Amino acid sequence: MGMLGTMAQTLRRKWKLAVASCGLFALASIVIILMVIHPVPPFRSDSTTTQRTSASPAPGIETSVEPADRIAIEAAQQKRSERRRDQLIQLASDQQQRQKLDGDRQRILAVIAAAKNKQATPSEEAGEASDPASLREHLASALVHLIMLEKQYPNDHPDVVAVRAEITHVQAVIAKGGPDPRPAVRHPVEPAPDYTPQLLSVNTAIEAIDSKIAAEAQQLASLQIPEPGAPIAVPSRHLPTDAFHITFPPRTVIRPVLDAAFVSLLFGALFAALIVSVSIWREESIRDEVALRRLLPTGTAYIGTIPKMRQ
Amino acid sequence: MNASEGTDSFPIEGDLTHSSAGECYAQVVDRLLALENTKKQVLITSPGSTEGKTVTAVNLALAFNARRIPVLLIELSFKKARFARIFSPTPLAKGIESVLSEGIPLISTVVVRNDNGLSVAMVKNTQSSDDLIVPGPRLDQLLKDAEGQYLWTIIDAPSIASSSDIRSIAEQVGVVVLVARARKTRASSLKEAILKIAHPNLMVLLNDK
Repeated sequence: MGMLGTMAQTLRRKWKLAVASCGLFALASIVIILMVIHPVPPFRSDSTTTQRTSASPAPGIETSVEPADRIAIEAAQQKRSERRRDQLIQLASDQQQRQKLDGDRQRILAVIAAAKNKQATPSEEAGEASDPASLREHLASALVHLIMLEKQYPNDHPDVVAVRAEITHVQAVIAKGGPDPRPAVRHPVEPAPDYTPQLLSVNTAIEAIDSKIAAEAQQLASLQIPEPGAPIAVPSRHLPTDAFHITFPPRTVIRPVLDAAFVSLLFGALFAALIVSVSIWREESIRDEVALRRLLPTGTAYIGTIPKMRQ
Repeated sequence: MNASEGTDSFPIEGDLTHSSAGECYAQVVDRLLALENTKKQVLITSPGSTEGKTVTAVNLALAFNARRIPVLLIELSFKKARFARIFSPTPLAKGIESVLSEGIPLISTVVVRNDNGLSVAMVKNTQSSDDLIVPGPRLDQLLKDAEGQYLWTIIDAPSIASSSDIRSIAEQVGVVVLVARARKTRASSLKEAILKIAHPNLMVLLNDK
């Protein structure tokens, strides 16, 4: 109670100093905090400049960009840029995959065509063998056939061994530069292998990768980044948001001001308490008779000083 | 019995003639005795607490008593009553608080010390506040009785900060002694107290130099 009474007495004496120091500190703090929270962007003349929205489909619609929104916009842009980079990498990889699948498809089609030819004109084989151009064509189709077979069967599979032997033979004939005197190897007439499942599989894969690439391209288009300095599309609080691409929800900008005021007043009160304490500490107490006499008004008598007593 | 017995840490001077503090109190008594045309009742108060009111009141009473001047020491500090610790508790059934609360005569609460003949009216039961010190007929009667039976009356009152009725009492006494303690009492507090008391015979005493 005594301590509270002393505090009340002190506050009664020093309330002006306390209020002034608290107010000054709070004011300075609010200014500093607002400068930190809401920095004035260098490319804007004031905080209420309106900017044209570049992504807005409705021309002439303007919206104001609050300083706090500007920070959020920049952060969102950074995220968009990172996402765009990832999408680009993914798209490149998918396009590479697509090219590979295209190559596979071409090879399968060639093999199918060669098999059909072989099936349709087996008697021409000897004649083909005597024609160097036909021999090279035959060698190419045999090579494609070998690739397909090697994918499906082990190396010691009879079909693989046969095709390999045929390739060796054709290569040897071509190297000699003339027709092989040896009678052409007569293959038994076999039904042409069915490559339809492989072709279907490749086609399906190609369709899948095509749709994936299309989706990625669409996403990339939505992640377009405006050029530096270009106006930014932001959602307006005053206009319908249909015409805008909302990048982030609108935020209330009054909250930081209230927070700043609260924090400033809190620390201002502490600062005032410190100032008042220092002021009281510095306030000169009566130290001696001279100081006491100087204080006394006319009509008040000084009657003496009692020295400190020891028991 | 020496007055300093049972005082705990209270530096009460028993023999005023053999100490520098005693000499100073004697000089204060001289100043008080030199006053003319005033009521011989001295109110001892201070701007704040623990500035030496009780020590000053007791030592002034002892100084008067040492000169064989009939003096009554009255304790009006009901909340922080100290006389019982300084002089030992009163043997009477009722203390000075009963004079103000019940209207009993002052003389029925006065005890006289055997060692030096000092008359003391002390608090028997410490009160929760100093509210008993209110201007009124009982307080007037108390001061009147003291004035009629003793030449000088020394009143140990609460500090100005703790009681708002000090000024009312001050208006009824002849002299007010404002006690300040060196290196403790603030200049502003003292100025405030002087303005508040506004007594024609206001005297300031510096303690513990």
